[in-house]
Amino acid sequence: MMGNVNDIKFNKFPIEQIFSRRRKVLITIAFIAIVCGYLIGLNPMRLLNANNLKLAGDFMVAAFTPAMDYENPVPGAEPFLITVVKSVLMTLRFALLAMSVSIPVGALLAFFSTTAWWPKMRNVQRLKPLLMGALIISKSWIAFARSIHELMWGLLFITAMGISTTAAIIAVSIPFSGILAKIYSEIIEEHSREVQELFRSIGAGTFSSFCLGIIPQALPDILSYTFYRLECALRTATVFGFIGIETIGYRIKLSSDEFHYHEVWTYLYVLFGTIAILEWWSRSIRKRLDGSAN
Amino acid sequence: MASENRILRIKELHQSKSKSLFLRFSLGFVILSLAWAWSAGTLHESVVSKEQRGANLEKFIGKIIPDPTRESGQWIDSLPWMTNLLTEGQGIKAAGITFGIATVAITLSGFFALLLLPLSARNFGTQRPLEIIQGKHILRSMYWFVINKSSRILFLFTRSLPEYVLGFLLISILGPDPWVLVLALAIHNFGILGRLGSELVENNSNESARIMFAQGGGRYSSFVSTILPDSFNRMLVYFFYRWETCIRESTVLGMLGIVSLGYLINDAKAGRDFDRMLTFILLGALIVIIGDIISSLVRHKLRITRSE
Repeated sequence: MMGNVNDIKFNKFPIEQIFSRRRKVLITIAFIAIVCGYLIGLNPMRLLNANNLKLAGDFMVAAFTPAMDYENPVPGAEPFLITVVKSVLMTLRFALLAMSVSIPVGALLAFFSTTAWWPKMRNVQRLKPLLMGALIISKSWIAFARSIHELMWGLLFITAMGISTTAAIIAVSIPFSGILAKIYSEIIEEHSREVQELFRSIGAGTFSSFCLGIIPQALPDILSYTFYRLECALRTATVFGFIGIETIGYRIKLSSDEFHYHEVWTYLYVLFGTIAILEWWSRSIRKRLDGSAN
Repeated sequence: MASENRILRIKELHQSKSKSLFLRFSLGFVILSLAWAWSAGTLHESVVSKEQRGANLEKFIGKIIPDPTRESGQWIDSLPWMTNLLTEGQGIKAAGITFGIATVAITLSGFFALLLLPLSARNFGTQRPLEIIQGKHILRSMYWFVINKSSRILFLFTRSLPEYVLGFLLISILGPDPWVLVLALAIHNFGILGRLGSELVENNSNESARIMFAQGGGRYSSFVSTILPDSFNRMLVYFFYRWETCIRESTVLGMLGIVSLGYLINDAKAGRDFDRMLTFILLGALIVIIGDIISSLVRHKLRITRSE
């Protein structure tokens, strides 16, 4: 039967063809964003205000001439560039200390929130409620610690104990160890249990087969994620400068408060460089670790 | 004889294990820097005396319990106090603003990152995209080199600046305006989505894009008609994953002094109303958890899950 054009009925507007699933998703997202923008009172005209544009221009022009010395030198102060280097080192040190507290705590939490090392239930029925309890407690602690931003933990600790770097490091370690624990336990659960079963079948206990059969497989992924977290810790360390810890953020705040935009740009470039180097390093490590895992 | 062979085989296996000088060097470097971090000088501590600190802590812990409960000893008495905080004290409103800011910000950064993807992906942003267009011209390849590198550096620069620092700088330019929070989040996430998106474009199968190029399509037309539909779900997964982190960040960005949850928290802290402060912090945690749940439901629906 030859198709006759007149036989085809266009009784419906082909809405399904005009608005494919993808278009629907994009239009919905755009619509929601516009409604949200309206509700929170975003006014596009405010961005184009002449005064704001001038300030923004001044700020951006300063980018081409970062300061090499204080814009308003005080006699007897240490040289500007030494201050810059010291603030970067302090930031790095803060990040390293926070990570070295978070990693063991995170590993411990991860250990208790995975079932991979649990003994076979038939043998030790009495242990089950205990293990289950530990699992529930550590999992809920991880969820709770993660859901409060590190800066809020910092604010709480600093309010309670006064401005102290030790308090800030402990504050950062709470959510960071939670996030590390969540990812560590996910990685452990994801790995195949075949090797573990092999060890079990030749008589190893569940705990030793966990250590020998799962941990070595999971280690590259765990290390790789830990390095990614170190990058995050560096950013967090910067931000803690704004609540009084003497990292590079503190210097940015001081310079910006006095409208020394050239100094601000020096700090921003140094921060950018540090994070870029760390990111490059961490990415090269991760690439090699991923290679050795396969 | 057999056992000797076995030992040889084990040695062989051991030797064929991949070793990397770079990784060993890195491990040494990590150990050295940790040693430095723990041993170098004392950390900056507050000048307040130990007794004073103890008194502060006691005051803090005492004031952290809601006022009505402290008076009557009954938790139920704090319920009206809490409802009042959420309505009159603007808790609900601030929570809504926090959600709104995150949504607008991530949409803006997604849009602008998407615009740059065909230039920043290594296989698209060259003179010969996907090795298809033949011929070499030194000036044009230099032009594309510059375009590709500068878009990648733009992504790198924007993602290395933490949201809070961006917000702080923007507030000195724009003054207290919700735009500050939106732009701070949008700029940082623009860099992150740009990097993740470029990786998606680079790793996506590109047979149909090659056909488009061979037929004379440009970078944008090939991207929009082949790569984008193909990797759409994966891009949405990243979008929602970043939306979730945007919510987390936008709970604190208000601390810069713009009405949102962070502002209320800072305000309560300044007034030494620690009970109010803690309530708002817990409200923030609730918002983050709701955002997490929505995002993970959506991502689950997109059939791909991705951890942080």
